[in-house]
Amino acid sequence: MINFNEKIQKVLIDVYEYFLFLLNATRAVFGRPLYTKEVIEQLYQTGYRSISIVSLTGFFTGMVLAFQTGNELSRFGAKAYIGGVVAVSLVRELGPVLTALVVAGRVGAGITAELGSMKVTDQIDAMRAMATDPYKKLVVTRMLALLIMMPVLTVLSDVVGLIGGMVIAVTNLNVGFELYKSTVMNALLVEDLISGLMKPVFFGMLVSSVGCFLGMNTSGGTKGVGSATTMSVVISSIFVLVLDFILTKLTFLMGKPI
Amino acid sequence: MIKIENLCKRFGDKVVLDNLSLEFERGKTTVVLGRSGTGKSVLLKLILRLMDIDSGRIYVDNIDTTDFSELQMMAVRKKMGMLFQGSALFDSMSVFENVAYMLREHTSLSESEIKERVEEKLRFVEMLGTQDLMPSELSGGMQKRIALARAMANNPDYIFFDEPTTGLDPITAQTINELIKRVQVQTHTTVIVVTHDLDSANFVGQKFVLLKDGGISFEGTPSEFNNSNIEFVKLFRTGGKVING
Ligand SMILES: Nc1ncnc2c1ncn2[C@@H]1O[C@H](COP(=O)(O)OP(=O)(O)O)[C@@H](O)[C@H]1O
Ligand SMILES: [Mg+2]
Repeated sequence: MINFNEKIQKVLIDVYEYFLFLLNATRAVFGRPLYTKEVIEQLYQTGYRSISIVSLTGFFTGMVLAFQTGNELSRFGAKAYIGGVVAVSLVRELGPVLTALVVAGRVGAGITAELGSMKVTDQIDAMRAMATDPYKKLVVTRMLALLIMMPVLTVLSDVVGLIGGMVIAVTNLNVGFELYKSTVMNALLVEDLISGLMKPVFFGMLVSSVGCFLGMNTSGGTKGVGSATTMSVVISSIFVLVLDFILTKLTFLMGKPI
Repeated sequence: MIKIENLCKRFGDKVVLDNLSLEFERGKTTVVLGRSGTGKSVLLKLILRLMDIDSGRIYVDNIDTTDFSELQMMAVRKKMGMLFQGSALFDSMSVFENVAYMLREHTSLSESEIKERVEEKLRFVEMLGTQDLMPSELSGGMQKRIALARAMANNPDYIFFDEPTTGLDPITAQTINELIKRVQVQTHTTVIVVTHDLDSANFVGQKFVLLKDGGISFEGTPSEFNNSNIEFVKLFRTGGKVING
């Protein structure tokens, strides 16, 4: 039991340090220098290089979604609405969440592994010794990049997912392209688009800050880098799901129709 | 000149530095000796304030830096170059970019001036021609040289070496020793070398400090060190081997 108490204490300290880290990072956003070149490099690394895996995930999700719900809808003679169902599920939920999970696995893990190995080989200390603020140079640049890229990737995933759904609708369910398109357009409300774009902003913050935090606090050599990287994916993924629930709940509380 | 007064540092309940007072004279090479784990690296990191001081004061050029903020320390760090034990080169950057790092960050030198300065420093460490290589393509000794070139790029007043010869073969180690001496002779930089390698210490040192249990067990010139009758100094010199006399 003593062990259990100690564990809780340790978790609380970690959480406290995480929020301290967030505060420091936020402070580092302001004031010079702003590493524009590094931000662009990170936009490329986190965004451009995630395009294929995010598209792939979106495409298959859209297809599976259309296939599964299409069969159910057929039973009620409502398969004409397939576009609407796919669109709402994708834009509200699956697009943001699945994109965030994929990005947590690809980008979040990469950030932790990179910063973690820099930490354990003294490169972070070397940077500070050369009068650079690693928060500005490494953390802020990565957080900004993901803050921008997560919504972009999510929109991409949504669009590709809708195309995937369309492929199944047209080839498998005999729903024509025009009908599919119009049910998609009719189903989506402005609120859906807003919440579908707001979620990835938070997810981007979450994945990048957890990735950076764990990387910057890595210790214990190569093995430490390995476990920090695993930890980064696990924590980011869990909290993407938790945060998704909270944000969904909030949007409903704020009066969004179901 | 760097002056340290009553410096204390502990991790948890483990006391590493205990009321340490020490002066590093301008233009001299001071060697800080001590067994592994006595806090030699910690001492350098405290001077650079890469970790926080528990108590005591640190003066750099007669200015008390103890209560400096991270931002104020930046200015102090620009006067210092540090060679980390594992070299700590940026492994995502080429040799050129590593050496150019400080110049790009803190100066407004033009690209051709940067190129000139990088070549000057690489020539100094006899590594000219490696500009386009990545750190992973270099041997341990070569990495040390590049790290020295990087530390010297901004022409610092102080250079710190953390165990510069540890893990190198004796011949490579001696080439590094010669470089350290060259730094001191040619640039009049104030040098601190932290090591447990006595051959290296005797070759480069003008003043020796031996740490033990967080404090100083010996302080003086190399010849005083080599003739000292302090038990721990004798032990450190011989490694516990009994010398026939
Ligand atoms: N960041 C740290 N956290 C906890 N303990 C540390 C840290 N850095 C150093 N120590 C401890 O301080 C002592 C001195 O370390 P160090 O200065 O690296 O020794 P050395 O004289 O070999 O360079 C060691 O016992 C080490 O375990
Ligand atoms: Mg050490």
